[in-house]
Amino acid sequence: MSPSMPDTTSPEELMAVLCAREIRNGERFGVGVESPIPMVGALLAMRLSAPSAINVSRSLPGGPLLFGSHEFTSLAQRGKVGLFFLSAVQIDEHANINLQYIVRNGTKKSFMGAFAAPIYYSVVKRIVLFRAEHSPRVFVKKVDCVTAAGRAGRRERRIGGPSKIITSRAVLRIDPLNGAIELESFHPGESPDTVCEATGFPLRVASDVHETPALSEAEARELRDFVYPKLGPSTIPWLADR
Amino acid sequence: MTTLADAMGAIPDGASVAVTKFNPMEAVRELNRQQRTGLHVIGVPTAGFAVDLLIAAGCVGVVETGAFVLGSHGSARNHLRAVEDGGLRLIESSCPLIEMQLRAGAAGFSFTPILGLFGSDMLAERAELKVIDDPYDPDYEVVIAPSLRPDFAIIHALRGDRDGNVVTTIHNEDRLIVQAAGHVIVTVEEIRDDALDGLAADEQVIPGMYFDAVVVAPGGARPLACPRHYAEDRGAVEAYLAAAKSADSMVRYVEGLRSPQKADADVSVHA
Repeated sequence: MSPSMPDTTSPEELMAVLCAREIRNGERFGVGVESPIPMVGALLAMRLSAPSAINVSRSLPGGPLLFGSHEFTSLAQRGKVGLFFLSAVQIDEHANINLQYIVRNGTKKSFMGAFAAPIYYSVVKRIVLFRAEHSPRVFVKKVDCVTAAGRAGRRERRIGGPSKIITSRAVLRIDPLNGAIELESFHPGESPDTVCEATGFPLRVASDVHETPALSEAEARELRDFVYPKLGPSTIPWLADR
Repeated sequence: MTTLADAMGAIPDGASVAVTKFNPMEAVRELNRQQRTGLHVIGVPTAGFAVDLLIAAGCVGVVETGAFVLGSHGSARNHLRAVEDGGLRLIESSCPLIEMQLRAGAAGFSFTPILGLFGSDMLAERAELKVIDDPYDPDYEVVIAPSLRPDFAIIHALRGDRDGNVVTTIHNEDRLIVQAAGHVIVTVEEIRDDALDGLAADEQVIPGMYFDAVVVAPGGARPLACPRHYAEDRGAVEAYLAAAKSADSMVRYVEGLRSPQKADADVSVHA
């Protein structure tokens, strides 16, 4: 494997570690396709803090032999998936997410599509959103398209919902009842002011806001000695330019 | 006896056709050679190279899928271009929604309840998705969707025996689309008497009774990977992605695939 670890942690690497810290020991969790940040986080958690967590998606080797993605969906719909990591093109102040398209100057720009978000967002117990870019064009007042809604409808049966947002600047916490978002922690080099400025809606600051704890020695060591060699450094975007 | 040309020739213009993420590439190339038009293609649960190629070949009128993604190669340019040009109708769906609709179709139901979707634009914009009072608990509402019963399912399998039984992996929704479709065509890498012996932990048998046609198509997943047989042909995939960068180069690529030198390699058995 590569390279010795540099002294500075890249934002994506810190995000991967923050994803790992969200995984609870013993729970079933899933990671979407082509998502290196939570994938690295998943391997790290299963190595360190959550050795008996069960990865039920197929993006990581060694998971249970489920029949297609519909068996995973059934598990989730029965409330048996504790955590799923999702990304989004836009996120708004009510924790609505958009994966489908944006409208710029009257022109629609399409992305890959909704994937499982419209269903998983309300049946998986905790959805953790990850998005490296933390800017007013990602964190908007209102999404151009509601792929999945942050709060339940009046007569809707919901099992779970959005729980956290992990970005390259901060960790935001989402109130499961009303989808309200507040700043939980800001990464080294940021402050509540810089994070709020980068957010396109008024962001509440939690009363217990604090600096995001940096990588522990154990986290850094397991990444370097186990996770990166296992996945192959060339598959990890933030290692490619080291 | 069925040749690939005959098997695919049974699919009329405008038919609905389901494919999974285990892309039946040679079958799709045959639809391109036959210049089928107006297909309603269902990408289960997402659409990849097979659907993107069909779109570029002008075979598709409607695409219904949870997302467009070319495996680890990012977004599908032919699909984006066709949607932006307005020539392609897109039914934006979600992976679990499509799967539940197919499961209802496979079980013979006309519709199915769906979890989630509340508050989404998908629910607001697709008229066939309805909200009803939960018949068993009026405190709640339930989303319902019509079942999906594609006219055809096309799958590619790892191997088959002489009775038409085939072996494929459990990782995709092949069995689901086979059960839900009106007619099923399978292309298979090879026919072997011992095809069903010693299944690997992630393999399954799909019985021959499901298939209208079994076609031997070695390399049927190329240039993509086929487990136990060959890896992805990176050069050929790169060539596809390069061609897909512009409409002009893609037209040349698709026309190149219609040249006949490949077609006579097909040997076939009947299911």
